[in-house]
Amino acid sequence: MRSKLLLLVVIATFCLPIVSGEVSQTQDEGEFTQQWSLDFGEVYVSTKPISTDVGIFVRTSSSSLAQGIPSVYSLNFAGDEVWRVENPNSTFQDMTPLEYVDSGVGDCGSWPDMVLVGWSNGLFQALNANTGTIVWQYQTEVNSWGITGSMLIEDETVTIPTRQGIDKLCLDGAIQFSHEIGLGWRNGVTFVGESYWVGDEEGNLWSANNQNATKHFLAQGKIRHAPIQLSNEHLLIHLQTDSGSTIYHFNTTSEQSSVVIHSGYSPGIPIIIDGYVITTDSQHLTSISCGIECIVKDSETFKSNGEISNVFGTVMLPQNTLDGGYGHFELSTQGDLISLGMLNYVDDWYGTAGIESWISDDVKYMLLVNDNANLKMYSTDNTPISYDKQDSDWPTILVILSALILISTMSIQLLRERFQSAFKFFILFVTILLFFSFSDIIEAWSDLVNDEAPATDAWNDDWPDEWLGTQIVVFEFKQETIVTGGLLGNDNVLEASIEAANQQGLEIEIIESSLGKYVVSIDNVAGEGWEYTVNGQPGTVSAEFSDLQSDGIVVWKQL
Amino acid sequence: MFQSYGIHGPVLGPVTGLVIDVILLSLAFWMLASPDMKKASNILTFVTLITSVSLLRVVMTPLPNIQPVTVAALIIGAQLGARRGVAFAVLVTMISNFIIGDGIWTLYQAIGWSVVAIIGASSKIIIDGQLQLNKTFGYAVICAFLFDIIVSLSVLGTVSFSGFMMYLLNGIPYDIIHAVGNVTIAAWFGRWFSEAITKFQSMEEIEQKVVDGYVTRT
Repeated sequence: MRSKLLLLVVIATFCLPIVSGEVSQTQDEGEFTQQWSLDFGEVYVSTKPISTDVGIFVRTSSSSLAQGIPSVYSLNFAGDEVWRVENPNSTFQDMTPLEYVDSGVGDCGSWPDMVLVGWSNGLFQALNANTGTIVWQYQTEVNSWGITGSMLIEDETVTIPTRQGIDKLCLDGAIQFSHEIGLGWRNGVTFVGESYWVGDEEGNLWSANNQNATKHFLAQGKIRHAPIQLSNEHLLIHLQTDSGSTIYHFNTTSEQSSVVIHSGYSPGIPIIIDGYVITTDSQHLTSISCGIECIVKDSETFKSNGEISNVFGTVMLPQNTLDGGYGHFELSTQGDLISLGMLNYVDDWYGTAGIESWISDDVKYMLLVNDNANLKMYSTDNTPISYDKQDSDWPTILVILSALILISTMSIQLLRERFQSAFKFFILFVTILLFFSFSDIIEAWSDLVNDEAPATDAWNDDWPDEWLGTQIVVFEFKQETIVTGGLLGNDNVLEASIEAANQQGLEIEIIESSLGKYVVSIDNVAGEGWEYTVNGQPGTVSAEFSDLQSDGIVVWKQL
Repeated sequence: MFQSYGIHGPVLGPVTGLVIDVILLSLAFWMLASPDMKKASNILTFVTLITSVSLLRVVMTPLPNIQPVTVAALIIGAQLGARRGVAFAVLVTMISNFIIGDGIWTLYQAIGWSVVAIIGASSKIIIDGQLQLNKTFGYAVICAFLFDIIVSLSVLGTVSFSGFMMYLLNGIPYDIIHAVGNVTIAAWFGRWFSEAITKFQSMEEIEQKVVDGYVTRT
């Protein structure tokens, strides 16, 4: 009997972590306790939520309405929705951070407490922070997409980087200036000296004022962040290039620039913390000290391509990989980056959104969210407010319940010495477990065994330069070829293909099969089937399991 | 079914497809051409088996590479012999693929499951009319990998050898879930399926004896 009990304990120990994995999100994360979480569904959250006196504001984005409607949410501090504003036309991945402005009166008129929102369909909205009603709105130009960069709020004005320009408005919506500049993407605005500075997709810095906008060529590449303002009216730019990235120090007075260091692919958005510039990309997290010249103080291996945050005096940033999680670093007074380890959560995945943090009544708070669009609030207050306010995850609950029933039955059968019956329940449990984790297993296995080919292998020089660094999908029919570029944020080949088909008005027929989702026909053309390549390499798994990099090129060929 | 998953086998023209279908059908009927298959009850039993397993395969398509046909072919091979096992494998493949999707893979799947049926016939997993579960589990796992390798051969000629090896490597999770699925199906339904076939056989034998006795008396 003892040996059987022992066997039972061993099996229970083996099975327990699988079940408790889902529950662990309510456990302490160091001194922090999860207060609540809110799942926004199949959409993404790519920008940091903001916490204000009025409440919490967060925006979701998507690349197709099938995923969900891009929205801005207002939440109270218990995680309950106060209001929501949707924009079904903004399906080009929204990545302009939200901004909050207090009510005011001045030369620019008067305005209430507002949340300012730039949408990827070019619409700029000032929403009443308390009600979500539109105070005023302003349409900017669209060229494939609209506003994607960070705006600059000053006393009574907001300056917006539009798709191909820079516009300055009073906070009551009156326009002060509008200048055309180069095509931009995620290109924020900074004010230095007497000018507003913004980059473009051709490596130009533009300085703009009330009269005009002037171009200053930095180097071949893309400027995809707001220039970092240094002392002496200098700027720091992390330029994305074809071979990685280069960090430049730019003197706005003399217009001289110097290379600080070459770094990795797909730079994130730099930030200044404790006087040091912190940059990130697919290879490195770097701290830089800037005086008359800029000097690299430290560099750590890390992959992050989005926002960096100053969380209670430490550096925190999302790891943009399948495993996800957050890198946590202490910044020493000498500028050294000291790793404090990774912060991991149950729903870890790809992420680019920064971490919002604040202190209220001596209690520390953090808002965390990644591409899974599951917003979590943690605090040092040990009393959780509530859990999972919305959309309980019934499928997961059912799976856990089934697993528990199977494990229990198996254990009972073991105790009754019915080993064959116990095995039946065990193998059924294993099969169900495999079934529900199969897509993750396939993706992880595919990542492990396949080398990634660079996108340059499949690049066609006839394509427009603004497509560089974005996802491209090619449909090669027998009679014609349809190319769609400028796609952003799709995680796998199927997602990108569906978005491309939607943009082109093509119908794409997909069925479920035992090997994953199967593309039957594109634009009602089935032919002898369709096969795909990613960056020139033949796909080896179902398109839904084939990960796609931010600059991946997919070619579907009719056979 | 490998199209749209990436690597694709040779593309079949309509004539080639027809020729393959005719060859497979001829093979199936040749395998069935034995004296006991002239009896209507035997034919009915066999048709029922083929129809139900084909239907099961179609219904289970959304489950990732869980293939009830593998275990069925193994047991039918063991129970009814290699000839009927092969006929069963070929017909189930053709009928279910007629709904799921037909192509060059039909040929390789038919070969794969025929090999499984032949293995079943020589496996001795049925002793004294009783399905030996532990032995069946072992064969079910081996047959999962073997079947997947045979079906993967369909891409040869369109990819290099290293490409083929990468293709096999990428397919390992699919092989594993096929193997685990086989063991689950065998554990839960193996004995029942085996006994059901035995019952059919017994009824046929009884009916035949009655018929034979009647014929002898008259």
